[in-house]
Amino acid sequence: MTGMARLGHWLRLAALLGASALLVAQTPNAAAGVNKPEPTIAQAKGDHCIRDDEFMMRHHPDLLKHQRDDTMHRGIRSGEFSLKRCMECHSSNSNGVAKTDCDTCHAFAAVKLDCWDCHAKKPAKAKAVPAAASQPSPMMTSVQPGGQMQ
Amino acid sequence: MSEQNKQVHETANNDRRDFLKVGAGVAGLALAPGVLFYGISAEGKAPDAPASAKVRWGMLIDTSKCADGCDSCATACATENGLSGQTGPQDSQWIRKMHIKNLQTGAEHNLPMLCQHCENPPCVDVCPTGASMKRADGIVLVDRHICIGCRYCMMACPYKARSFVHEPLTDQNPEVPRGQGCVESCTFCVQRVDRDETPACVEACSKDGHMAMMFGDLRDPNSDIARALQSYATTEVRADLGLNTGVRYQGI
Repeated sequence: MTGMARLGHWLRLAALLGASALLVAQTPNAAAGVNKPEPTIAQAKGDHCIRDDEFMMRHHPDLLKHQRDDTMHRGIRSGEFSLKRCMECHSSNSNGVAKTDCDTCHAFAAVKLDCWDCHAKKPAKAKAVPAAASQPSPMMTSVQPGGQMQ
Repeated sequence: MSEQNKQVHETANNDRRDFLKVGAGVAGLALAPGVLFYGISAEGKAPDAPASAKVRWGMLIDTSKCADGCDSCATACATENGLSGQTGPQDSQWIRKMHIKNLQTGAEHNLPMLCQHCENPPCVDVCPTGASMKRADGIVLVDRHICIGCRYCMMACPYKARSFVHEPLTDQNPEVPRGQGCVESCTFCVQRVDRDETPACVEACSKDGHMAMMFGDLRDPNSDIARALQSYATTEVRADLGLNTGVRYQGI
């Protein structure tokens, strides 16, 4: 290594260290004085998750994705990693607005979640009893083709 | 053809013949105690078991029992699956109650029209992403995780059975996820079928005393639907297309 190259190397290292120091200085100190920003997640219902926290934090997307294909394509409905099951503990309802722990964490990590475009944010509820139809509802369709349907 | 090639060709043919003979024998053995073979499907599916090709879910609709002015099936479908229940151009309709009249003879019929759960579904053929799919037990579904909303399947379906969700939805049924940008259609209430219940429309029709809809396993010779199909003349709508529909009609 030439002298110039060695100097460049040290300069780069110094710059990196300086940047890191700045980053640490600007980081808001989270709980217990640890220099690690963390999202504020509401206490989920129940004592513990179905696996330990570290494992779930890293692997929940894989677990959900794997099981979703099993359920959707093969009709296996006994798996333990369903989004519906997550919602039993990790969803809350404040002032009529459903909120999930998924939202909090993913908003913090700036990851857009589109699960809720289709999936319900709430646990399954008891079925509503449909009101008796007293008059023909708009679901009726009247078709008069020239011949039979065939 | 050279002598050697001829020899190979004949051997291959013989092999195939032998294989077919053995296959027929095995099939005979398996089917001989028929009741046992089909018994599995009659008991329904365990939650941890995958959908089996030994079952084919189907529906028989007796148009003579389908009451004029009644739309309990469509209402029950909307309630079960979280549909709006409206018939606007942008409202999903998984089942439509129809009143048809032959202008030549004056014959009138009522019938519900829904996804026919074809054995050879055109919607599955044309789907560019594989979202439109048929489960092993014959239920045709859309995997919304893969659907890109191109609506090619809607054009391919001869029964106008599919709808597109145009607007964002809220307050879905947790068991029936559905949302904007995806095509959807009747699922035979797959969430109910998997826990050994009949689709919501069939249940509603029976509850109202019409008994115009029958749901069951077409492959189980002892099921009510298989017996009915054996006994009565039934019709496939657009049988000319050779789709082998899972929904059959009686009386049209």
